[in-house]
Amino acid sequence: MKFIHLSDAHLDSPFLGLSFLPSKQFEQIKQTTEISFKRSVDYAIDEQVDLFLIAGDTFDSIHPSPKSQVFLVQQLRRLVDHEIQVVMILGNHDYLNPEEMLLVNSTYFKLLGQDQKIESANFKTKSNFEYVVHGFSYRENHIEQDMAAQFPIKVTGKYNIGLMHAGEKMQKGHNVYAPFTLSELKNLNYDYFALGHIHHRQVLSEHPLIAYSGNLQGRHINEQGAKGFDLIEVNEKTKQAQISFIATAPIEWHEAKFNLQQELALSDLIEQIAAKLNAEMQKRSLWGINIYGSDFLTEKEADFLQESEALEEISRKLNNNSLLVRIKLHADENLSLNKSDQAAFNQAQKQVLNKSEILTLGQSLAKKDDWLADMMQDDNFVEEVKSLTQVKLGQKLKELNDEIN
Amino acid sequence: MMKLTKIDIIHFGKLNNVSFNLKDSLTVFQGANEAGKSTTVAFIKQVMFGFYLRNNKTAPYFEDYNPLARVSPMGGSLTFEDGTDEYILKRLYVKGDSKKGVLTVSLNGQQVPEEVFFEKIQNIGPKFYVDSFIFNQDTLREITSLSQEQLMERIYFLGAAESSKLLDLRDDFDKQASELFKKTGRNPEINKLLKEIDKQTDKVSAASQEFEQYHQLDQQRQNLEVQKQAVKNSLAQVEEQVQKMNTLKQQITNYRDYQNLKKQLRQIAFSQVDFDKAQTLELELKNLNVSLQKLIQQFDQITVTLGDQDLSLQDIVNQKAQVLQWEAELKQISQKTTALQNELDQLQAYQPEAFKLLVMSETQLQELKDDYQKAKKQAREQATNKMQNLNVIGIILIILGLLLSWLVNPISILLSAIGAGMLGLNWYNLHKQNDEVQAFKEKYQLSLDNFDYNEAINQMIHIQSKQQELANNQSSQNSLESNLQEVAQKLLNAGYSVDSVSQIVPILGQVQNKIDNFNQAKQHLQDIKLQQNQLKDEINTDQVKLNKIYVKNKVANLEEFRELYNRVKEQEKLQIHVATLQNSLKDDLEQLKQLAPNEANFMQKQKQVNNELANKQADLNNLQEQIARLKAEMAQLADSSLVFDEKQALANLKSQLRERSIQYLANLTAARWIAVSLDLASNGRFPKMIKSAKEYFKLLTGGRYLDLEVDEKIKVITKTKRKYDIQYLSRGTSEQLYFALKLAFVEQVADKISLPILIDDAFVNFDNQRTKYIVQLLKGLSSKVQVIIFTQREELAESLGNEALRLTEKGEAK
Repeated sequence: MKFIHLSDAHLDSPFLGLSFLPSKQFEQIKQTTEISFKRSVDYAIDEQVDLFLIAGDTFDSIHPSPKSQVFLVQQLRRLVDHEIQVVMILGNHDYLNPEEMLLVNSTYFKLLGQDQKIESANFKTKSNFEYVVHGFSYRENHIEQDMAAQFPIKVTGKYNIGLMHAGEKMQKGHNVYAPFTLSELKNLNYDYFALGHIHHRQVLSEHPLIAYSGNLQGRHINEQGAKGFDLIEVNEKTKQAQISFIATAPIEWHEAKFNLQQELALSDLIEQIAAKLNAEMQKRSLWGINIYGSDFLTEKEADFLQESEALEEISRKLNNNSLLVRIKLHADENLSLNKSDQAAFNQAQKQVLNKSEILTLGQSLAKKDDWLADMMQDDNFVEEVKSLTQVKLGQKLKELNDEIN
Repeated sequence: MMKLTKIDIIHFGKLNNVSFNLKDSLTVFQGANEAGKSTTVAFIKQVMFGFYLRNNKTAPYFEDYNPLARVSPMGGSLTFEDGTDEYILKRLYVKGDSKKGVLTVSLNGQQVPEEVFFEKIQNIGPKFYVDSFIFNQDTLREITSLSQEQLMERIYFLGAAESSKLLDLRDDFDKQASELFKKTGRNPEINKLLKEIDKQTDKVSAASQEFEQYHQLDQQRQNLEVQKQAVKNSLAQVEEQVQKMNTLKQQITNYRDYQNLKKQLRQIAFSQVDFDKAQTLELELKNLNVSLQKLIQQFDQITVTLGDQDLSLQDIVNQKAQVLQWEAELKQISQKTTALQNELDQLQAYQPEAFKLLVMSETQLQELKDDYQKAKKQAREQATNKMQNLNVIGIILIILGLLLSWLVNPISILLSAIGAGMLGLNWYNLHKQNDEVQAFKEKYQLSLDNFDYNEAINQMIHIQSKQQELANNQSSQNSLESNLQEVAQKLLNAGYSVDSVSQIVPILGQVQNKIDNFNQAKQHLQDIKLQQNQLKDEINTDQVKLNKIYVKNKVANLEEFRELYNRVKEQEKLQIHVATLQNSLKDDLEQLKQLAPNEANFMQKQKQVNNELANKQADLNNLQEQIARLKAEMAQLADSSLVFDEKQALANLKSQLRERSIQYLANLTAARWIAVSLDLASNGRFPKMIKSAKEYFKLLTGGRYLDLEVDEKIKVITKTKRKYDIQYLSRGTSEQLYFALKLAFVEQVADKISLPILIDDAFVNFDNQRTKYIVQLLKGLSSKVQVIIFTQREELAESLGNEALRLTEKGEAK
């Protein structure tokens, strides 16, 4: 038996950090989500897989665009027309009322656990290999319950597959996405547990196999690397499975580091950055670059690098039609100050450059907008604030020093 | 603590060659107005920081203390003791020096670079010193302009080099932050973005209506599809009904036809055998008649050809022997005639006059005789006989002509004409013979000389006999010829052309042949007649048979019989038609029997059903149109990227907001970082200073004010917890506040900047109670900071408990 485990297509989902792109380029990129999904379906048909699992968040919201709905139906139709069993669940983003969805009416299509209760569906492959899929769909935004605990015990004599859209229980924060512990899932001892929700592909356990397939197409710089689906090939006699990753995303996000160790002319800087990216490039990518040692930049260079012009200019030098979409400057840890001041600044850095201090500073801003408040809680956000603060201050202190000296 | 221990004034303003030794950390200079208190204060300040002569603009806090006596040099020295170290600052000015004067610094008797001293006091500038260490009426008034900023700047100065620049930087960052976002405000970028995001969020949720819309449209479409199916089904039923009714309608027509045709069916007696026989007989008869007709024709033809054979022909043929004899006789006579003719011709040649006479009639002859006689009488009258002869011949000829005309027309006419001519001629002669001889001669062309009438008459008679003979001969010949001619005539009449008499015999031969042929033909005709009779018999027989058949079949003739036959055939066809109709109507026959009489009803019903059909079809079309419209709308929605676009726009705004927020927070954090760094670098002096200032203020106001708020503006809080801006404070209170803050500041910086506080008549507005407080405060402070008080108030000097240094009007110390 061969099956595909796919998740988090997030059709309709916007891309982040590309607003400066010319619309022609952006149009291409925005189609990649559908292309990636379609490639998965192509693969399923070409390789004649037995089962196509969709582990939730196919749509980005409970108000998917008709366009995306029609797209999904077309793709599902292709699968069922080729007699490929599709088992789909809904996640925390697409917890739609199934009655309001455009789906296919076929014995080859199953929307599992529509009432947010775990449902077990039994199937057979063409070679009469029997398998059962246990899972549920979201009907509301959040599920705080431990759903893993409600999964049935393994059905003997059949190949057992778990299908769930959920996040591992965290020590801190809200556990609102059907929180589970790995040991719970391991104890179920299903032959395969297909998870959705986390966009980063990961195999949580080899024995038994428990995996997130990750999302289908990276949409921002924090969804880096190849994206696609997991292919599971089962030895029907031993029920041993091989999991492999098949990349389908037409475009990947990547991040590179660039260490600046001396002052460079702007043109050299651009050349070197482009060369660095081209050296690391494997396929068409959207790049972010982190430039360390920003102290070596002149103010003019630093300013230029913050402009979208810099992105365009460097992008023109990239292979594979790739684009540089973000430049992040990082200052050295130490500010260039005299020793006594240095000590004070270092001490102050400890006091000031931390999350709680930054959030305190941002209080009045956070009050303005919930989304903003949530975003500010994000460690990445805080890190970016820290980093930018260092760059800014470093740059200014450097000027100050230059003035004095 | 570094202390100012000695003041040596060489020349400075009104003061010349004055020295003061300062022993304690709290020193009081007591002196009346104009005793040189302020000059001393200025001296201390200017020796340290420069004279700035006539340079009030750049340093307004430096008064020009050029010596009044115009003595040189200007200046003097200050001696500071710091533990075991002794710093002497000597600043002198002589003409040509810098306006600041020339400063020499010595440490423990050794001249050192001035930085050695100034680094000890953190390189502060004159303004710093004036603002922070000197209290006089002027500086006290500045309380209202005091701000956190100023206080902090001074205090941070101690921690970080270029603290003012750092503070500027901090302010810069703060400013940048506030350009990005303000708590209340519309224009900063983030405030704008937040608004835009609100709007865009609405747009996104509006776009998400597409989902509902699509779903609703789909629902509508499905409902319509169901309706359409229902209409389709009922339409099919109606169509079936219509079909049935149409069939039935057709059947009604068929039924009608059936009934009509059925009425037309007849039983007709008819014998095919007889009909066939009749036809055969008719044909036979026809053939027989044709044969008969042919025979008749043949017979008639022969009959016509044969014509009515002239029976006389046989008689003529029978005359053949006679004709042969006649021909022989004619030949004989003809020879005789020729001989006579010859004789006559000879006579004519020899006896022409006789011949002239010969042609004369009796009368003419008589006349001739008369004329002759007369002429003979005249000239022997001569012969008149001839004339007579001529007349005779003429008459004969006429008679002969007339006679002949009975026989042969042309000849008789000719003869008659000739006769008539002769008569005419005679007549003419009669009338013309006038002149007897001449006339005779002229008249008869006879010469009397040669003419002998008698002779002539004889001759004439001879000729006449000969002529008679010839005439007889002629007559025989004529008779023969006329016989022959008669035969020829007969032949001619019988249709044979006979050109000459000689042809008669051969023609008779022919005629004989013809007669034989005719008789043969006659025989043939008889044979034909026989055959005809036989045929007629046969015809009769057949006709009888035929008639019998006709009678039997009650027809007059074959035509009728054929008509009968056709009728029979038609009936047969009709029967088949009727049978077919009957067959096709079979199932509906009963229904049709009932329907047919009520066709109007049926038609009405059919019309209704047809209307229903049209209505249903219209319904169906309408539904189909609606569905098509819905589908088009759905397709449009399915093609719309509005949801994505709006979401993307929102995401873009949000990333912009995120980016701007990072910028904003980075600015704030940087400002904060600088502030904290400065705090740290200044060893936390600022908060400590504020703390002290609060205490001092409370102390100086006798507890009427409990607290201070040092923000951008300074505010005070009363013991009743009321908050005031400082501009509303009384002068006294505001001076107390100034003292509190400044003293707290100096206290805090004392470890770094150990310079004396100079209080120049600063308590003039203080009442006793308050003065007590300040004295108390200064006493306490002097353990940390050197305090030098210049006052005119003796009781104050006393209350401070130290021996005061007295300043006289001359500026000398007592």
